[in-house]
Amino acid sequence: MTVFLESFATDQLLPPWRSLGMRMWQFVIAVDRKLIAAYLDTRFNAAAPDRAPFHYTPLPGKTYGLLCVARHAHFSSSCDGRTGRDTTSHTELTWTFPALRYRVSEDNLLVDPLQVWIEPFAFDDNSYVMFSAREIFGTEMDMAVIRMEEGESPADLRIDMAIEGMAKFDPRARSQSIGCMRMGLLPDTSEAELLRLRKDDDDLDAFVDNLLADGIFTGSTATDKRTGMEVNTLRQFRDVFDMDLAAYRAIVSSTTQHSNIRDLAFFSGADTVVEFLCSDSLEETIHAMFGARPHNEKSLLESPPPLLNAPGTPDTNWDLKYMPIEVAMVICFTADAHFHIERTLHTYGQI
Amino acid sequence: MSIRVPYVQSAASQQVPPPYHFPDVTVNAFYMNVSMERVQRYCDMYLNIGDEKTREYVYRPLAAWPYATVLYLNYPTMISAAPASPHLGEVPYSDRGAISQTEVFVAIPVVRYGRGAKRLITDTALEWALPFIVVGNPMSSVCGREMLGLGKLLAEIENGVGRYPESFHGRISLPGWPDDEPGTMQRMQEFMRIETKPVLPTPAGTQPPYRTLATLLESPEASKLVGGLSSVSNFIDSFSLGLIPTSMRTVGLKQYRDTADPQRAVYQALVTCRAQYLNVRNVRFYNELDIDMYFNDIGSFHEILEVFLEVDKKPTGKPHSVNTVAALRFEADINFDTLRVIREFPIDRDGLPPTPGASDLVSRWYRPLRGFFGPRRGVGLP
Repeated sequence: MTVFLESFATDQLLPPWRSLGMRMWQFVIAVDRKLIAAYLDTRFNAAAPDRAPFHYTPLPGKTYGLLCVARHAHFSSSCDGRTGRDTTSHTELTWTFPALRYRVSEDNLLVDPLQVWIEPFAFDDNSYVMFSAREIFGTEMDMAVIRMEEGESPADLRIDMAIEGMAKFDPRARSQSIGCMRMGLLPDTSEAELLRLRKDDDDLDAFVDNLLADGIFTGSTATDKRTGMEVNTLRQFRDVFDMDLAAYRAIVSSTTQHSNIRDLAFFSGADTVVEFLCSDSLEETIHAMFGARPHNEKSLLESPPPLLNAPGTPDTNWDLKYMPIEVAMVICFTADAHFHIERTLHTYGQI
Repeated sequence: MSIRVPYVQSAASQQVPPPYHFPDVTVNAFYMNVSMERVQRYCDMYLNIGDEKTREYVYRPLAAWPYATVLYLNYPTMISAAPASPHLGEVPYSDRGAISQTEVFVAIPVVRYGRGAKRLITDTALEWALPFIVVGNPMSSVCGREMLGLGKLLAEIENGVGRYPESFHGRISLPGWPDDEPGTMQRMQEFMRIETKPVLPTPAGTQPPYRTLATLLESPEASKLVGGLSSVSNFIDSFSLGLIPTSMRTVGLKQYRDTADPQRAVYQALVTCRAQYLNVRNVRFYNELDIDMYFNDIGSFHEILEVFLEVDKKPTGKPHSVNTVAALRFEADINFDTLRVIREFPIDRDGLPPTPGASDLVSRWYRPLRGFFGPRRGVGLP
């Protein structure tokens, strides 16, 4: 066995991880099937130079994804033998969508379809977590400043996120803190009934069935192998000499399970505002997933002003165009979460 | 790399392609004693990898230079000089704009000796190990870790003028754990701090400057020599005995964990890069006897300090004061280029033969000669 040589720079919280009292907001968003198929083909189905023994396709019918914001107040490693230096806190934003993973048989047939979740991008406000996510299971996670505030009523919810980047690419441009995303609920919003939300939209009803099957807001026990989100990520690292080559590239499988679900609430998408702020640094990421959409000059969330301009936070450029995203429904809950790395499904180039 | 595996390109990737050009960098350099034993331990742990009998090289400390250098760098502009990628059809990185950042690292010279008579001549090279490196820019930290094999941590770095004009104040805060008790929450903590008096000559110091190295170098004879040589940066190396690193070839271990078994590595290689200091100017010295530099020997920071400082076996929970032997400030333009893998290590695999290793250890001076006269070789080639 080739031993990984530990140092303080790689003193990461090793998996499995658990998050106690995780506060989660999930925004259900419809996405273009063609865009998802293109993403899957580029990342998972392409030869590199060998093909993985799997093939990924979008789910049949209208496709939804989950834009999730989770506050992990008590996030720790459950790795065997770890004593101390095991607990941190962070807030993350992830975008995931379900896909079907087929096994490719020896006869080149697609068999044994299994629903898995794909995580094209993520943001986090803790550098240790970002390094771990990128280096251990390969999520393309970026560093961000994320503020999530909840008040007395649902309408008080405000989530702001900023990243370091360029508002407009130009040889003379300077990197700065730029607004990236705003989310919130409209005034006088009240909880919605899940049954009514499902009844109004057949496609959404089918998607909620998928969520239920994976126990996302109904929960599962840590020993229950049947439920949980299996997340597949492309884990790749560049070669240092040739930027077009990977020194290592593999498909990795991990599982997220929720338990001890409480404070569960649903909201109608019509009462919700989710906006991306349009900057050149984020344009490709947004357009690859959500396509081109109309822009607004101002945020639909007029008040309160962006939380990131509060004292002690970086000066952030919010003077960008706002791209509202239509939300189908919102799920909110508190839970304990368990994250396991299952295995490396395929390592490229090891023929 | 025997098989060419393509990297899936995207603008969301944080790795800005090299080479890089950094104009107008301000460097504050502080020199402190370092134990050769600790440097050798670092070499044995992270550079002298594999079976000693079959390894073609060995890293050792540079006996003539028993110092570690703490460098505070302020990069006002960082530019990627990479040509446009033909595959993406997107805005070239060099046209996107510039980022700025602060960086702090500890540099220790190490010598890679080729083993055997021939390799001792052709493969021996002076390189710099960076056992500690932090940056203030997240993109830089990701790029350094994933591509270059530098263990860059993301830190809050203060890098500016101290209480007096022309003085220096530096401070690093890092995420860390104050103790090793299970359940203790990670938090931002002060890792180190440096305060200087103004550059010499100054009336603000508390220690007489006549005993300092700076006094020698700032004598009329020496200062004329510095001024005359500053435009010929390669000569500064020999004149200043390496105080001003005009061309640092860094070496780092680039490695990735196995996902399911994090104690295993799936990739290990030694990577070198060149940081070339050009147009070195405005060299000014601090009185090294008038510098307060300390590292906080608390909790998880103890593991960092053990690498290059003489600290106790357990954290003391107190600041660890360090004496500097020289300190100076200068400005320079820096080019960062010629990145390459010099040694890729075989990786054990379950049920399969190990991945093949590869070497490209030829030293800088011999490389052009070998390229001209010898057969073509390289990483991944026989």
